[in-house]
Amino acid sequence: MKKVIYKTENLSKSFSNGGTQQHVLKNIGLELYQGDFTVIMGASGAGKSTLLYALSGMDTPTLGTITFGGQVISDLNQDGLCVFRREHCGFVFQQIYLIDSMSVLDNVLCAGLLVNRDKKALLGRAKELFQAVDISEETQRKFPTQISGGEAQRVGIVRALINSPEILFADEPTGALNSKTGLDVLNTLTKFNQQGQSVVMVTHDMRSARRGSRILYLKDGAILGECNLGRYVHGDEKRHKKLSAFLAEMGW
Amino acid sequence: MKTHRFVFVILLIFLLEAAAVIFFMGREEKPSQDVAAVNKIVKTLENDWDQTARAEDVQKKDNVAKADHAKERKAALEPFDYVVIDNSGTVLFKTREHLSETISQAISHRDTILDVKQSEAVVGKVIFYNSWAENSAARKRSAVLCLLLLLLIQAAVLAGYAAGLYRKLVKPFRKLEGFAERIAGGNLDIPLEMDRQNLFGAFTESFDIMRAELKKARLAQAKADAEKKELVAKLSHDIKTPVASIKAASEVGSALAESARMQENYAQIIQKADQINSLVTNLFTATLEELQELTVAPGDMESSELTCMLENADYLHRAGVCAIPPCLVWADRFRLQQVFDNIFANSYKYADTAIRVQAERTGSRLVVEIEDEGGGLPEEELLFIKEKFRRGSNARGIEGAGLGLFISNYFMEAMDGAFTVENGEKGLRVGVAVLLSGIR
Repeated sequence: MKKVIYKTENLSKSFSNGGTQQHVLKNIGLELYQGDFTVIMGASGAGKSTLLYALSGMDTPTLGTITFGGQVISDLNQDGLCVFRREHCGFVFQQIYLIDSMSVLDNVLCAGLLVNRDKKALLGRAKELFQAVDISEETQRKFPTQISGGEAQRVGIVRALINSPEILFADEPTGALNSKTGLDVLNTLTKFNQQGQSVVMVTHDMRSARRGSRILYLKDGAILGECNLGRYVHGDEKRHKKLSAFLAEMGW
Repeated sequence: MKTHRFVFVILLIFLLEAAAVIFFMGREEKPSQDVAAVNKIVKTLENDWDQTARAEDVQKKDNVAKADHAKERKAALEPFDYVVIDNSGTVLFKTREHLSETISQAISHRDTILDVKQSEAVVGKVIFYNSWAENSAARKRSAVLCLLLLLLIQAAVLAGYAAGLYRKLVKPFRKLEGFAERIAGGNLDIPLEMDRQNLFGAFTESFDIMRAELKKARLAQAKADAEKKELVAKLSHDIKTPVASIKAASEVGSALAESARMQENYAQIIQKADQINSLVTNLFTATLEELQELTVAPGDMESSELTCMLENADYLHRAGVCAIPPCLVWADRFRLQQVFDNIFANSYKYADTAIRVQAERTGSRLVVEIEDEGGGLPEEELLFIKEKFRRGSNARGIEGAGLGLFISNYFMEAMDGAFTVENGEKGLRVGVAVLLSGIR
C-alpha cells in the first residue's frame, strides 16, 4: 500500500466574476501517493492549474480541506502557506522565471538558502543535481540570458529540487520548449521520479502524459476518471495503448 | 371476386374426376377370349401342321426364314400370343419369348390349352397365353395416373385459392390488428392504409374515419384543458396581488392598532393572507407542471446557502441552528427554497411542534433531514403521500390542496436529487437530498 501524501475532501474553488460565481473545482475528493508521477489532464478551463495551485498552497480553496501528511493546509494563512511551500514543495513552471542578474548557480543557491543556511551542504546538493540534469560547470557560471530554453528549464528543475521537497509540482513544463529540449526535460523528470521523487504534473500534451504512472482526467472541475499506468518504461506499446484508450473514453 | 368462377372450376374438376372413375370402372373387362379367333388359329395350325413341324427341323439351319414365317403368322393371328408344342413337349413355334412353354407352366398361368389334331389323332398342343392379368394392370396404372393428375390440378387450384384468401382476407385483418393496437396505445397519428381491392375496403375506411375523429376530439380536449389550466394559472397569479395588498394593509393596521383585540384581529388577517398565498402558489405551480412549463434550472451553489434557505422557511423559528457540511451542491435556489417552505409550512400546520434539522454528506449527496415531533403518519399513507391531491388522514379540518409534497418531490427529482417522507422517532421525517456538484 502506497503512502498517502495528499488528501482532499470536497475541494471546491469558486471565482467571483462580476457578480456571477464561477465554480472551477467541484467537490474534489482525491488522494495522492508518495513516489507517484501523477499527471493531471483535461481540456482548457477544466480546472487543472487551479487544482495544482490549490494543492501546492499557492491558492486557498473556497470550500473543503486539503491535508498534507497530517497537516491541514487549507486552514493555513498566507504566511503559513509560504513556509509550507518553501519547505515541502518544488515548482517547475512553463515560464521558468530565473533571475537574470544572477548566475545559474546563484539562482539555484538563492532558493536553497531560504530554507537551509548551510551553504556547503547546498553546494554539494546543487552539484549533484546539476550533474544529474547534465548542466556543465561552465554553464552554471553563465547568466540565464546566455543559456537555451531547454537548459533553463533543467536549471528550473534543479532549483525546484534543491531543498529536497516531498513533492514536485510541474505546470506544463514543456509548454514553451521545442520537441527535442522538451524530451530532455521529460527524461529528467522521469529520472528523478524513478529515484523516488513524487511528481504532480499538469499537462495537455499526450507525450508528457505518457510519463505519468497515474493519470487523472479533469472535466468541468471534477475528476471524470483515472488510469493507473504503473512505472514508465520507454517504448512500452501496451502502456501507450492503455493511455490512449483511457483518454479516448474520457473524450480527449 | 371470382368466387363463382372458383366454384365452377372446383366443380368441373370434381365432375372430371367422377367421370374418370366411372369411365375406368366401365372399362373393366371380363376375362373372356374370342372363341372364334382361337378356333381359327387352331384350324390354321392343323392345316399347316406339316409346315410347322418342318419349320422346327429347319429352325437351326434357317433362322431367318423362320423369323419371317413367324412374323407373317403373327401378323395374321394377332392379338394372341401362343406356343405350339408337339406331343413330346418340344416347342415347335412361339409368337414371342417368355410365354408358357410346358403344360404345367400353362396350367399354373391359367393359359388356354387346346389340342391340335391330324386325322383324329392328337399331334400337338397350342397354349394360348393368358394376357388378361397384364392388360388389367396396365389399365389400372393409366387410371391411377389419370386420377392423380386430376387431384394434382385440384390441389393446385385449392392452394392458389388459399393464397388468394390469405392475401385478401388474413393480411388486411392482420394490418387492422396492428392498427387497433396503435389506437389502443393512444397513437392516433398513423393512418390505416386503405386498399379498396380487398373485401374490407369500406370496412377499413370507416375504421380510419373513426381514428381521425378520435384524434380531432382528443386535440380539442387537450386544447380545452390547456386553456382551462392557463386560466387557473392566470387567476392564481392575479389573486396574489390583492392578497399581498390585504396583507400589507393589515400589517399597517396592526402597527397602528390601539387595543390588543384589534392587534389580534389583524394578526389573524395576516395569517390567513399568508395561508391563501401559499395555497395559490402551490396551485399555480401544479398547473404549470401540467402545462410542462415548470422550469427547474439547477446550478452549482455553496451548501452554506442552504442555511439561509432553511432560516427563511422556518419563519416561526421552531428549528435549531444546524451546521451544513461545506461543499458545492447542484440545485435550483428558487425551487429548493419552495421545497423547504412547503416542508416547514406542513409541519406548522399539522404537527406544530419543535423541529429538528440535520444535514450530512452521504456519498454523492448532501441530505438535509427535517423532523418534527407530531407523531408522523400511518405507514399505509406514507406510500401515497407524495401523490397529487393526496392528503393525510390528519388533514381533516385543515385547509390545503394536497399539492405541496407532490411539487416538492417533482422539484427534487428534476434536480437529480431525492425527496423522502418517512416516520422518524417522534414525528414525520422529511429528507431532501441534493446532488453534489461534479458528481454527475
